[in-house]
Amino acid sequence: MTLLKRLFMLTLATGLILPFVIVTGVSINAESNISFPPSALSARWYTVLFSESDWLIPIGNSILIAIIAAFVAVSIALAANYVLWRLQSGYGRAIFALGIGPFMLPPIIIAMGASVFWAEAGLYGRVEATIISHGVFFVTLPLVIIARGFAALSDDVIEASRTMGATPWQTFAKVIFPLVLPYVITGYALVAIISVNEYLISYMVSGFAVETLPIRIFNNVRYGYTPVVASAAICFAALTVGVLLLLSLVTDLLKLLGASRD
Amino acid sequence: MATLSLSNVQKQFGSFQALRDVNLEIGSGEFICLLGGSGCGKTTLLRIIAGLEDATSGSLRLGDDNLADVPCHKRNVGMVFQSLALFPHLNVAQNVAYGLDIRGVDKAERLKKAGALLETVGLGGLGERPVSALSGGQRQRVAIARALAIQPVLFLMDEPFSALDAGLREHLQIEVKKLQRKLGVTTIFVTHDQNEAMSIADRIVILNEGRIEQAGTPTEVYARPATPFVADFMGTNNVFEAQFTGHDVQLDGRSLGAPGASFKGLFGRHQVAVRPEYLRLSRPSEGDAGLVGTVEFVRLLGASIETELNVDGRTFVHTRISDSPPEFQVGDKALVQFDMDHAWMIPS
Amino acid sequence: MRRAALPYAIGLFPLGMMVLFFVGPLAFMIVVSFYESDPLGFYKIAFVWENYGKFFSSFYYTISLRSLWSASLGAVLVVLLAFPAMYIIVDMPRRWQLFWVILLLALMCLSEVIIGFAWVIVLSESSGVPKFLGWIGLWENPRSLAPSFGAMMIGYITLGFSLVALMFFPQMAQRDRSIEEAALTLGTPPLQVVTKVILPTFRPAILSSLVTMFVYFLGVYVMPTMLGRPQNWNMTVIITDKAVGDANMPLGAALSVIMLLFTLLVIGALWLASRKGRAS
Repeated sequence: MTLLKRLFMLTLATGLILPFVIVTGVSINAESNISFPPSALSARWYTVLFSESDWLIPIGNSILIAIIAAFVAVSIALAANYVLWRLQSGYGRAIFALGIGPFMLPPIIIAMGASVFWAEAGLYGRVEATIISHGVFFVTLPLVIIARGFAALSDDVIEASRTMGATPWQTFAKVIFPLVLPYVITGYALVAIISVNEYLISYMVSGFAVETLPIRIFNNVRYGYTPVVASAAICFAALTVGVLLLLSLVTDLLKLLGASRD
Repeated sequence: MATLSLSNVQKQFGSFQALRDVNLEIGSGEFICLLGGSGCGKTTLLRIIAGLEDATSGSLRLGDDNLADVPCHKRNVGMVFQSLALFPHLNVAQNVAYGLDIRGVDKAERLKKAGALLETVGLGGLGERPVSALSGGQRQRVAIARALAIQPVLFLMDEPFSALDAGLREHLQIEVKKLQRKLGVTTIFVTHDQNEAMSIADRIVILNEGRIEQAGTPTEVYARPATPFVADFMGTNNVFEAQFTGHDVQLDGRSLGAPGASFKGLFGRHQVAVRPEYLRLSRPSEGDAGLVGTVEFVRLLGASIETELNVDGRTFVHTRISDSPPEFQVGDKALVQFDMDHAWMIPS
Repeated sequence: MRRAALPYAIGLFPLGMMVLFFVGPLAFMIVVSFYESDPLGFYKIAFVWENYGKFFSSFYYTISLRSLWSASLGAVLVVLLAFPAMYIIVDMPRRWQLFWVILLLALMCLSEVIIGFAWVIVLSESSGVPKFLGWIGLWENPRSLAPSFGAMMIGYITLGFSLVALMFFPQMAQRDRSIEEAALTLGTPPLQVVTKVILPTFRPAILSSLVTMFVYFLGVYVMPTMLGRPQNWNMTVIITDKAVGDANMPLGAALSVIMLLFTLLVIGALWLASRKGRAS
């Protein structure tokens, strides 16, 4: 039984990790055609990735979009959670439900909606459109995560602060915000990573004008590719894992994801 | 039914020794309480008996059968879990009938039996309810009925009442005891509450750091603790090490009075336990050679008055029937004497 | 009254953002679905049913059935793998739990494009599994395994696995383990504990993850285009091609509206089912 379990988990882990091992191998191969195992090692594809404007511009676009979009998403999520926590009314719940919406729908519908909307608004093909769309559509994750933070707040703490003479704003700034901050940071980091990785919305909102890294990679793979794509993919994966590892150092990821009751 | 016997049972979790050399015989129809603080091994012992955990070594027999070879689901033990572990997807009657369903009893028959059991535990007519609609006490009863439905050879309970308030807990203790007597099922009950153990058990097994400290009737473990740990754990005893000189008993060089008939001719240092009702307090006179202490706390416990004293850093507790108002106030000096005829020497 | 005014005012920010940039675009998409396409611009304002009319043809029927098939198969496979996996993971030592959670989070965040690309490489004759099989002599004349329907399914599974596993995580980690032990003491053989107790208690979670994955897979674009053949392409690929490739936004919008209605229907059915389940 235990052996069967181990075998099952090992197979899964292999299936999930192996692709990246092979891609790593491809990315450090000196040859210009894609092949594995590498015949000679070289970092030339990484040099290309970080020196040619073909790649540098999409990298810059992706990072810019991610940083601002994550801020937008987290502000919406924080405000929505605060309102729900203070009011516990239909109003608060309605806002919260609106935030869950994007997660419930197939991404193509959201992308299509955003596409016609920005076309009508005259911002089709502008980076602002991608930023706002990402910010609004990735709100679900920080919304749910920050909700855990608010659920962990006990009323006593807030009332204690009020009895000591704090105004609502002081209570928010000195008690509530510090307590939910780990959740806010986690939410921000996750939205930023997801935004950097997103393809369909970026493509349909302004893909032809604002090339992001996933769009660049996708076009490359579809229309003939070099090992630079592999090095880009590995940088991506490394960045994602790196941010998550960093996150696991500053917060208790298992608890944030609900391993135990708050 | 048969005798359950455990011999030399050991349990190791990594480097942690949860049970050391446990030997215990439990007779058919007995009501046993496993008593001890957290981490003493009482729940581990219960889980080994249930088959949820394997002993690292030692043997476990029920009559002539070697239980260690029988997997949990074939042992036919009814267990009530601390969390109750009711099945959330089944209603009350289905929960109780579950074990019969597994045993292939047909539907009409098992629902009839479940109904009768629910009647017995005082939940008649609630069979159709979802378990989430019940109160804490009602859920307890469902868990008990479910465990008894399979007519178990052993009835095991793991701190079942720890989440209930005091009144309800007492009520259920009495009910469980009555039910157990009626059914005559061998019962092992785990608790950390010595009062609970005293009030329901035929025999109490006190565990400490994985070892059995003492096994005996409630009166035995209360009045004649076998070890200092038991004397302390059973609560109210005054435990101290006294010097016996044959004709005198001394504490820190001060006389406590004559040793009484049972300790006459005894020499050396021995652990002594004296129950609080056998302490005597009186007003000290000038230059008294006995133990003089300061009253630290006085409280009225309905039928009795409890007085706590500090004698050179030691704490002694005295109780007496509350037929007159307390004669000592906090801060008063009092002479402490012991009724050595009722003192118990803890074997070393 | 005065005290509640501030939260209401703060609520206007998330409310406004979500209404303007989430509900608004969806509503406008419905409007556009009735417009006429304009080869020179995006669309011409009109009110025609023509775009919806196009859906009722054998071409779109085939595409729809294909989308439903691949999405449901993907959803079932993902849940079938993720449920037991998470069940095992939550009982691992904390260090291994953290390893898996970080791996899953990384995969959840990682771009479809990257995952798709990685599988293209793994399944290619020049560097992946086929090459390996050829090298050890199991496959004489190795060919690339992608694009194919199987490759596309592998892509779906890699994509959805992390999401479903993380959805199961809180409930599984917090579950009362003694329920399974209770079933054992009551005489349930270990394998039957799964069907008698574990699956029934997780029924709502399993159902909702199936539906979530189904809806999610209806809307994937990258996996079918990268790992599937044109005959495996789903409705999403067609919508994107019409809207961006052919610049026919009204048609893309109409097809999206049909998918939206279908999705709402599925979610509504799930909601009704879960309400009924709770009532009984």
